[in-house]
Amino acid sequence: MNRKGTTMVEIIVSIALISIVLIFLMNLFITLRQVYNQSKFQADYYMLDSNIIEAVSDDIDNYGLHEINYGANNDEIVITFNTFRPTKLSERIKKVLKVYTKYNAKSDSDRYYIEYTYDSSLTNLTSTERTNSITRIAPEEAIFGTMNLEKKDLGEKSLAKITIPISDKSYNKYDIHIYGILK
Amino acid sequence: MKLKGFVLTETIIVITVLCIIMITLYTAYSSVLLKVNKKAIYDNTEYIYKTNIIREYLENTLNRDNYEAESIYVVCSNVNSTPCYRENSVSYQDMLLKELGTEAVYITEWNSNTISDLELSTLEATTQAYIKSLDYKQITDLAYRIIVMFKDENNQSGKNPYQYATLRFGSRGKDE
Repeated sequence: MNRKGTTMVEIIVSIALISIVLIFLMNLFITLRQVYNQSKFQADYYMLDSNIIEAVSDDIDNYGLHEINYGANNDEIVITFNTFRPTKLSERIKKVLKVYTKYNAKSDSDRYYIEYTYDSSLTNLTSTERTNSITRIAPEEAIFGTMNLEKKDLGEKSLAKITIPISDKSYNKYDIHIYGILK
Repeated sequence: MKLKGFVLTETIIVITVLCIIMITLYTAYSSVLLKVNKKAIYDNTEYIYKTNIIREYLENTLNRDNYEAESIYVVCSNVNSTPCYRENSVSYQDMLLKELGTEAVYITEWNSNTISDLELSTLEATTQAYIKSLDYKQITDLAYRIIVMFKDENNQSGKNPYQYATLRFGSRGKDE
């Protein structure tokens, strides 16, 4: 009987070749996994970033920025616009941008939220004003810092800059910046 | 005993097939990465609104004759002799552009494919790539766009340190 098997050299060569290919593939998959995790975070972040910036900046563009200050706590910023409320012409439109944490049942953990809504101190808020607010949940692994408000005097006008510091768990910066000219 | 190993042809074929697979995977993978990187630095919401602030100011102050005469009008650029701001300047424009992290402001014709390669070559490589990537709607009347290059405020790696955004210039609100 002819008992022919593979030789030792053949086996070693094949294992070496397979190992080289596997090392490359492993590297590729590890990088892809990192890219996937990062892009998942980025996709959620871009959605949050666009929604918040668009809401605040559109109001600044449409109503004109009158005044901007910290609210009662440092985690909220009160924005007063030049335009008056249509239902009460003695009161300017005033909105609050705030960051808070709340338990989220879906992820079974506390999650960060950003809310942009009419200021509750305004009298007799109409149902449209009450519902005309946006609340967005932050990406799951987002870490928030304290909101920062800077006002720079540019001579003729002032520039206001709101920074919402956000980072992922690898401490990559994903801060949200909103700018407005105080007229 | 007859020792039979792989024939050279078999080995070459296997290596060739593996190489083809690896090259295909690499090409697909790198084109995805390129698209992701490109998307990350072009036309983010934050930079579009910053561009809008600059546009509002320049539309009120810039003389139309300046940018109508050239296919790329350099309002300012920190990489050449017309910097966007001077340190300690008290001019509104300087302070505004500095606070917004502006690196360069250009005004071009809306249809950027009319810009010749020679003119493009005077700009920095990232701006050339951005202008080439612009997707535009055909506009029948003569229109202009403002292109602003910003410092990326969230950039920590030093890779892709700039962000770009563009808006229609000179006739606010039309065809945006």
